[in-house]
Amino acid sequence: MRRLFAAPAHCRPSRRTTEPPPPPSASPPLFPMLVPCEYRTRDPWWVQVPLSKSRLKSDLVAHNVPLPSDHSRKEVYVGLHAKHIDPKHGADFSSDEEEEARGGEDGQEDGPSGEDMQDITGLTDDELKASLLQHGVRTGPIVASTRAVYERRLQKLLQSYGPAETAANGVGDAAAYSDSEEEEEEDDEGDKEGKEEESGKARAAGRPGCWEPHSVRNAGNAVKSALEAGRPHAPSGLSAKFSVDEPPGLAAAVPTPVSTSDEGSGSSASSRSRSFSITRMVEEGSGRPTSRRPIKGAAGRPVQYKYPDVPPASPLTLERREVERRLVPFYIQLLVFLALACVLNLVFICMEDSWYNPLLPLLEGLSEVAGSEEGQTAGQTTADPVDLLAQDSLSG
Amino acid sequence: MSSTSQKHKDFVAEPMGEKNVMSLAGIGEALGRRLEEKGFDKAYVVLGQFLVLKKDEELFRDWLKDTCGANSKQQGDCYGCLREWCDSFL
Repeated sequence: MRRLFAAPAHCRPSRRTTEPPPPPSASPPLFPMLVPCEYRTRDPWWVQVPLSKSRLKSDLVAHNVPLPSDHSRKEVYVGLHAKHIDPKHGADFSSDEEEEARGGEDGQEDGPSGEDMQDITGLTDDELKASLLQHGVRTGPIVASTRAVYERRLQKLLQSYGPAETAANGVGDAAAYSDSEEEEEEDDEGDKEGKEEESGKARAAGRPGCWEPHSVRNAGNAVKSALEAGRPHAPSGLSAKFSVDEPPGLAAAVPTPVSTSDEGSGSSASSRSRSFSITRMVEEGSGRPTSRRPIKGAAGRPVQYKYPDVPPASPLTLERREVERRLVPFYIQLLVFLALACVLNLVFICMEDSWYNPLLPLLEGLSEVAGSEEGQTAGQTTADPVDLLAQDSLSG
Repeated sequence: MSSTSQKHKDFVAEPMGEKNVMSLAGIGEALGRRLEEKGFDKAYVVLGQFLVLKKDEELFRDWLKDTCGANSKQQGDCYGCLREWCDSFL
């Protein structure tokens, strides 16, 4: 497999300069038993790594190589693979190349670049599926006929998500960029301080627009400067206050100059040259229209994420949320339930108490009435014979 | 995505059986020939691809465009006709 990943890496000469090859002991081959040492430098790579026919087929499809007929032998596929996909590997293969190839495979999940497509085509089906899943795409089966579609999908996703993703990871290129930026700013700041020191405060009036070019980064620099100013080892003339040209935007914002500084700025002839506290400037700088937005998370401000709902909610969860939103809150449900239970309990108790009192007599009364009525009717029907008999006996 | 074309109605009205790929809505003479060259000679082969892409519209459109160079309307017609067929016969 490692050999297979190495295929695209060979087409990237730029990587060789940036990534030092790892020591050979660091990454042993995945198939040591299949790759005897004596073959490693001599044989073409497809002999060393056994590729299945279907794997070869999907690779060919991925590279837009017309497939031979279905009944072709594996050698045909291997030949096509070597011819179209990786001619370099098929040719002479030296051991140092191998190391570089291994070094290159580490950068497979890089951000978007020209090498993306080759990275993606180097992935196995499962890896392609996994990386698509990382981007929230649930794939179907990745087979020869669908692989190309999914590769394009992944590439598109990498291109659209690329910058954010690398920034979120905070490693690799993003880290390099941010580091360099920071250094640049620090250098800038150092230059500024150097200039201040060498030119002295009397010269300050000569550059009215000094802060203008840096206005975009005012907040960031100012925060840093404030931190810098708090340190004990700050430059002697600038220990607590900076004497800097007043930015034009601040002229209105700071009408009364805070002239608490030392003799340098106080003796400055120019009315434009004023010293002001850096902390004040930080406060004002955030309100200025030209200044950049405040640094997220800096100076106690809450961190605001660009994408508040980072995990994309599935339709099922959305549906559930919708349902939950319509439902009555839980405590109300509980209250209603308790109230119902109380009412039912009361009813039951009342029923138990008065079960025999009002209802039984009524029922008894009813049955009595019924019984008496029956008795009456029976008496009436049987009255005549009894009476006759009685009369007979009496008469007899 | 006009679902009113005669071809669409004809295709959706009955099981596809052994119908040719050109009987799919949106797939005409030229696109059908291109698909046949790639091995998609019957409508059910395209249906297989449609299903293996999990009936995903975007993926299927992408695939169809890549395979035979169908334009947006043709992609939509073909997708709609297969989806409707699946709804009634699958």
